[in-house]
Amino acid sequence: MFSNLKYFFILLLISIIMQVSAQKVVMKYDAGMMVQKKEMSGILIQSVTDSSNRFIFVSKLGLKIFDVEVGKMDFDYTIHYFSPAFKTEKRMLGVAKEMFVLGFNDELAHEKGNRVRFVKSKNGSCKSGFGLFGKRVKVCYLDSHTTVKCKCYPVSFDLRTLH
Amino acid sequence: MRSFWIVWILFLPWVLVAQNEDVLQQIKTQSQQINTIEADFIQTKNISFIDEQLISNGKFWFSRPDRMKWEYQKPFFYSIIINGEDITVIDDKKESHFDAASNAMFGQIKLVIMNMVNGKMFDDPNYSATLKKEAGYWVVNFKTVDEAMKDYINSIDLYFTFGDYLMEKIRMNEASGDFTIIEFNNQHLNQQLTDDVFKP
Repeated sequence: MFSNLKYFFILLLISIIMQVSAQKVVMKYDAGMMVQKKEMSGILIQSVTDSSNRFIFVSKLGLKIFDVEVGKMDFDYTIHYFSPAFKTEKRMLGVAKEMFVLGFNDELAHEKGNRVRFVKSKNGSCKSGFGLFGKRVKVCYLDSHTTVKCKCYPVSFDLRTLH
Repeated sequence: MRSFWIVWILFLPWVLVAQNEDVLQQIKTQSQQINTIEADFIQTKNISFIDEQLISNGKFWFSRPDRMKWEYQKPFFYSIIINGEDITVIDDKKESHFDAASNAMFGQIKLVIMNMVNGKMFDDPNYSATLKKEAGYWVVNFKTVDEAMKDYINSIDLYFTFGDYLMEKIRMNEASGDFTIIEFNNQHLNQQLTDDVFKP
């Protein structure tokens, strides 16, 4: 009898712990984003779980612009939604994703100093560098052909927590 | 008596269609009689992925034929002012100007909002309208017909009161399952609005 009860309480405790650890923390920001002189403003929703950060950007009129999930460990991302209004803005999407990979993951957000990440293209001929410098993000595209080119795109974002 | 019921059941669909068409016509007529609107609004954005809602509120002004001001006041300041083809966006303190004819996105936003308010949406070939009753309202469901438009909005529901066909609520349904509800309160119709209202 007591043995069964013991197992019951252990299972109950484990399920409570699992539920607590799997809980999402949701933060909302009044957000302004500037990529290559193109500006976007809206509400940024950050949903944090143990394994990932999910970023949903909604225009102030209420239309969803993008929904991107970034893994905390591997930095891999999944695009759940990206508004067709910005279909042509591929570079902006790329930059936005990198901003979130670099800027919002817990480990990096509190880290002082600069951080740079390089992404190779599929054929390996070109790689892009994305750097987080304080609160600003700079993006460099490096061409690794005979002449190495590096072009920088300033990117910035302003966030104000919404209560 | 039995034959009466058979006839009634057979003709019921036609009776309902005729009634619906009559209500739609009355809503349309009522919308076309509105020259100005001043109202408060509460916007609630529901995102399927999270439990929380995004709630904002502000003020709305409309003046026929093509002037409108949509101003969010809490929890952020954001205002869209439409004067014909000129669109001004004030985001916090920053002012930007767009031309509805050359900016596809703002052009579409202008068209949808204006057509919802002035009743022209009933004649818009991009939507098919159906009517139903729901919780004290006539609800006109505008289903998006245009494929490109479906990527943004699946359908728009406009909620009209029973008695005076006043639009009190808008629900915009996105393809992803997310939806936005805008509720209008303190509506003042056909009152004088000064030009200053529509100045940035």
